[in-house]
Amino acid sequence: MQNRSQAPGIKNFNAINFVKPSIKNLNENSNLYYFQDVPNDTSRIELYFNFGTITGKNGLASTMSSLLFSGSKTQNSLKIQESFDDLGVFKDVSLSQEECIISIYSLNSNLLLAFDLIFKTLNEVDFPLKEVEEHLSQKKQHFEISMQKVGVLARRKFIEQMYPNSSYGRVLNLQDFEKTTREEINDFYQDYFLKSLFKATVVGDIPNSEIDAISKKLMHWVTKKPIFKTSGCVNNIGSFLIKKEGALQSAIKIGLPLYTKRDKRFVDFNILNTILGGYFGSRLMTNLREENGYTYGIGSYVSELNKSGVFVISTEVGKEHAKHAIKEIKKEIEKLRTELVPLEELELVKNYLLGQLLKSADGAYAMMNLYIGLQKHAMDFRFYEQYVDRIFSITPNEIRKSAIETLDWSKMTVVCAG
Amino acid sequence: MISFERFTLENGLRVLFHHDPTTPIAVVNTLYDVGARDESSTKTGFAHLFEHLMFGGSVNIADFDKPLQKAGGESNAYTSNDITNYYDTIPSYNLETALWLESDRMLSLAFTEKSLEVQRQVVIEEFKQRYLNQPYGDVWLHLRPLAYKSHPYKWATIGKEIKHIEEANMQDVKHFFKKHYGPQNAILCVAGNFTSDYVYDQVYKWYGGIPSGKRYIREVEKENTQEDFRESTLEREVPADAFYYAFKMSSRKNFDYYVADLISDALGASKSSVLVASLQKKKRLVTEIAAYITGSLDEGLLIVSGKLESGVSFQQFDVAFWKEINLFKSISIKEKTLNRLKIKNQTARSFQEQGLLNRAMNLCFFELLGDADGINKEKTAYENVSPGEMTRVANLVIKRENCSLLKIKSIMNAK
Repeated sequence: MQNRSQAPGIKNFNAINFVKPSIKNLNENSNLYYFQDVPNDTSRIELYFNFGTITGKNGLASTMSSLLFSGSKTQNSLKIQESFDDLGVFKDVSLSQEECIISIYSLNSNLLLAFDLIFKTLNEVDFPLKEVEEHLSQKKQHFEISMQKVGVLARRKFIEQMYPNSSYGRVLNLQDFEKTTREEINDFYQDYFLKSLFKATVVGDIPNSEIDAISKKLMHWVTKKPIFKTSGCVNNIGSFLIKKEGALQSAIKIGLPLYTKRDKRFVDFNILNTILGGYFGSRLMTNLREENGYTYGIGSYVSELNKSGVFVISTEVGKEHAKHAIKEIKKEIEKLRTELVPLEELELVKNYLLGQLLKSADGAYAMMNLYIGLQKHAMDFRFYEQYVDRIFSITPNEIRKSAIETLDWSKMTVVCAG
Repeated sequence: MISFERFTLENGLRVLFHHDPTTPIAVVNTLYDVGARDESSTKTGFAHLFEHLMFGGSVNIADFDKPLQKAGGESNAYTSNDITNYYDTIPSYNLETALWLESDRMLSLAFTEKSLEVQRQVVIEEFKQRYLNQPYGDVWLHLRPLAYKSHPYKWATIGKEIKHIEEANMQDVKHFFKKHYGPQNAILCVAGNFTSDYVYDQVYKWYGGIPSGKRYIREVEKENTQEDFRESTLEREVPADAFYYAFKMSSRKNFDYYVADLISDALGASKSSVLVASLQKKKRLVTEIAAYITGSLDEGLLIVSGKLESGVSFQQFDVAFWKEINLFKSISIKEKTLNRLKIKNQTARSFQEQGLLNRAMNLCFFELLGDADGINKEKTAYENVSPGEMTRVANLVIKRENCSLLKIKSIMNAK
């Protein structure tokens, strides 16, 4: 019988075959990116529009984007939904601070029909009053329910304190949509939705003629303006507590402003972050979950905007453990700033990151997502080639240097709700 | 079409191999034929707690996750009322590391007191985070015992109460492992770009020596046919009144399962579904309404749930609800509408099968049902559902005497 206490030998990859999508120019500011080499019958279109929660009057972007399928002069929302259902299509609208993404998931045989339907529907939307009222009443209820969640309370406070006095730091309040009118919604649609497409992607085994047909129509929507974003932030430093009667757990969010992939320090920080809270075996998971049992889970990540990033640690812990949890988080950060990461741990994290990179480049959908993540910052796959080199070369000293430069507790925003 | 090869080791381990030449990643999926339905009513939540302990080190390897992460992989698991499923994704050139780790914890665990103590705490926090500290989070803790009177589906996977988790001891843990975690109770699927000879050799090398145990024979209490309408109301500090109508439906292996699945889609899966169109869009009685099935292996549930528009009473809604249901049951569904449900179902399944991990999980699941090839027969099963079948099963399932209704009454304004 084999020796079970001896681990089998492990290898690392020689190279990852990064594949750049094909590109079609929509205008001087916008492109369609596409992959046709997909070994199954699934397909996806994603349309990127240049508005987000920072745009216009507070709450309007969210209300308008939720009502994009609410009906036109000739078709009500039910008929529209039936037409999508006839094609077996799933659609999704997602809104972040800076952009709105509309996604369509379809069998490849129906993708062009689905796209034509989306194009027609979104061009003709008329925001019927009845639909607007129904949506706002629904939204009010969802809002009230979400305000009972400690995670939501903490996130709101965190955003407000991370971007004080900025539209990036806005959160929704009841009055923001209670007084919303149909005219405001329609104006927002005219001003910010139409003619604001700045990027689109297609993944699916479809013929060139369909790519051409899609791009031709998209040219009607593309923005004439170059995309320009200023998303820097200066956070309010310190502790912010929100009391919620009867809560069994407290939600904790800790973080500070940071840079994006474009910054040459990003890769080092990403490796450091992985060690701190970026994977299941991270120091925060090991300490707070596996050693102390304070929480079901804890993680840290960088949330990237166009021009800046935010570093965030996030968890929900038993209410009685909240104080200890924050203390332990602080301790783990201090440790990374004062002690060198043991070589064994660093090797593990390096291999883990390489394996995860291989996974995040597996298949056309993953490759497109990876590429778009770079394209957003006007970068290409050379970034990941350098990333791999850096993973191999980084030393414990350089990790500590990154921790000293970035993870300064005295600059953190600390929010605890519960 | 998901292709696979199958072989069984002498110790009873059933093995599936799925070849995908396009991916550099491998999946190792292990399904153990044990879930919350196999627990005793005084020790609920144990199958799930045990899942956590499976990551606390095995007989020859102190830590499960570290060596896997070091090989570029990662792992997770889930427990349902029916099964416990563990999965690893790893670069294919390090497949052996995953097999080494998985086979060692199938051989035996380390059984450390420390791991039990900490995971009890972690699961209690999970209990709070997902079930107790969320608005409407405890619904399933109450709906299950209302709908099931004898079958162990009457408790949730997380357990009946936190106390059961606090009381779990090492003797229970060892006993549970011995009873449920041998190769005779497991199905393994290896998926990735390998030759079948390589997979056979590797699996034989790591799993061949694991001794077989006694095959577990499941004896769960059968649920008697429900004969009367059941109802229960909970008062909670939530903003809106909510309702959960739960109807008993067929087990997973019955053809009626597919019919009930499409019925739930017809009733409440999108804006064009019957109940959404009438009760939400037209009559404005609810702010949301949805229908879905639990997908259980034994007799499952078809649920219609939603939240009332403010000012609408449960009584008002109930009358309108049954009116729509009776209409649905009396008029045959149009072919066009049924085809709409079928193509949506097909799109959803195509996207699911697009991922290697889902393919491996599904192969194991269908092998448990009797034949891994069942995954490839589902499409036909759904296509074979006729309007007549829809009416038949709707009349069989969606009736008052087959219903358990849980109401959540908002007491926000009472303060």
